[in-house]
Amino acid sequence: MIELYRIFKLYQGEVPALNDVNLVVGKGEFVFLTGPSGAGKSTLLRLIMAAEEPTRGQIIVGGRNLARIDHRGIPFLRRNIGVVFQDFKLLPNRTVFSNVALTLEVQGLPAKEVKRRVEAMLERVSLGHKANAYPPQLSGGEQQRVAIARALVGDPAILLADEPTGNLDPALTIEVMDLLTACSARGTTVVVATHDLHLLDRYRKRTVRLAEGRIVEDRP
Amino acid sequence: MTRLLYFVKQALSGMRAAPFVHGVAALTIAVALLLSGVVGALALQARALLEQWGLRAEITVYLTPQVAPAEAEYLARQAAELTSGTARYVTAHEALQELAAALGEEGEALRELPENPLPASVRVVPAVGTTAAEVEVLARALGKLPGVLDVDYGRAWIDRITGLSRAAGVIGLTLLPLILLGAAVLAASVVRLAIHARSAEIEIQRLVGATNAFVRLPFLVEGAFAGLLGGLLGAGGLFAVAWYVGPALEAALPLPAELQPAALAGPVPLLLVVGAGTALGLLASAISVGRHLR
Repeated sequence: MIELYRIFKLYQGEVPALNDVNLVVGKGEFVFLTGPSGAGKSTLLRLIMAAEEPTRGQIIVGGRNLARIDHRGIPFLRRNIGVVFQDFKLLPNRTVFSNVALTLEVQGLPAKEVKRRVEAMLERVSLGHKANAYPPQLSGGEQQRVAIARALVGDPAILLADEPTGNLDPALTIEVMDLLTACSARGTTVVVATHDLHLLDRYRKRTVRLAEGRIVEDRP
Repeated sequence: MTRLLYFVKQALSGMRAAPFVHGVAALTIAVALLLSGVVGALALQARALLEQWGLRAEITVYLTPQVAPAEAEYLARQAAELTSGTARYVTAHEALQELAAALGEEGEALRELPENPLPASVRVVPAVGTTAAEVEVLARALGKLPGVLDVDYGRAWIDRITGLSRAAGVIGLTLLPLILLGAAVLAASVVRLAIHARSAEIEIQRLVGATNAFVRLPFLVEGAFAGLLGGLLGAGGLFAVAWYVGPALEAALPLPAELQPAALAGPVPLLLVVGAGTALGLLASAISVGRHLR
């Protein structure tokens, strides 16, 4: 589902953020990307979602070589990739329903279909009763569940999560991680960047460790 | 249709979120349109005034004393033919009587003069629709006829109107586009503030797969709405100028009858202003959002 071949990412005047990275993630697989801050985890996720281009190397997502997709094709690629961030990136002036609906609205789905799918997704993340609330009225865990609902409502083949539990307490962390592992069980490829070693111990999934832009360990 | 409604809804929501920014953009457009409307109307009316001058122009061809009445009548026929209008021979005696009558009691002294100082003349009224420039050409041609002493066609007045028309033309051609362009650039900067304030929203839209068109459309609709509001305010301003400032101006200044401030309040100028406002708002938004998405 995700293939990276000899990926280099250099920023001007800095040491390489990614240095000769090779990685293959299969369909429905759950992978932890771990390593210290600045190891290149977030850069790797940004390259997979085509938010940045690699300096060198090839990235293939869902069978499509990103180097061959022009800027007009990128939105359509992203509709197949759900993304979750540490800071949730929710729109504070939109309701929970509206935040989640955005993913389907950009795809031009009819309002009825949007309503049906958003309501079902909010039930799935146990937030059906908060549909009309605004993000600032929610707890951190609820906000992250909204972000996950927004990422998943379009039924993407891939879910990328960048430190999704970084702002959450242990109980909420488990709640969010259970949602992500459930997605993987349903066939979605999930890549979670985290430096929380407790998570790695608890969930026992494939773990790819990065250090100074290189993969130093790939533990099944 | 549903899709369009979605963008309109998003645009209205965006306007509600930043009413000050959209208000400033609308006001900028309104002021520019008001200025353009007044300057443009002035330019058009001055031009119309000049063009209509020929309708009322009368050319007086003064004759030398040696010209006999029969020759003068012949000259009048030549003048009428040349100008495609009418011409009338006025004897020196008739001219004196007319002047005396025009002066009233003071004119009685003229009748006592031992010798008539006025020359005989041919009064020519050119064909309807003759422009000021054509009147000038005709006057020169009439001056070349035999027995003609001098030709008077109100040159000083025509020169004033020509100057005004030229100035209005220059203003129309240079100032108007500058005012409108300036308004578009200023409104674009203001709209850019609104776009910048919503950069997080744009980033999220793009993350979930929004195309540039999806991001752009609500901003374009917002721009068009702000422009429409500006156009309506501008039209309101023009209406006020026409109905309230115009009469005061007419009372204070000796405006030519052709300069009609009330013409600004006609349906066509007002609709043009509203349309121009909408177009300006759209243009301003297109510039801003285009630069942001680049």
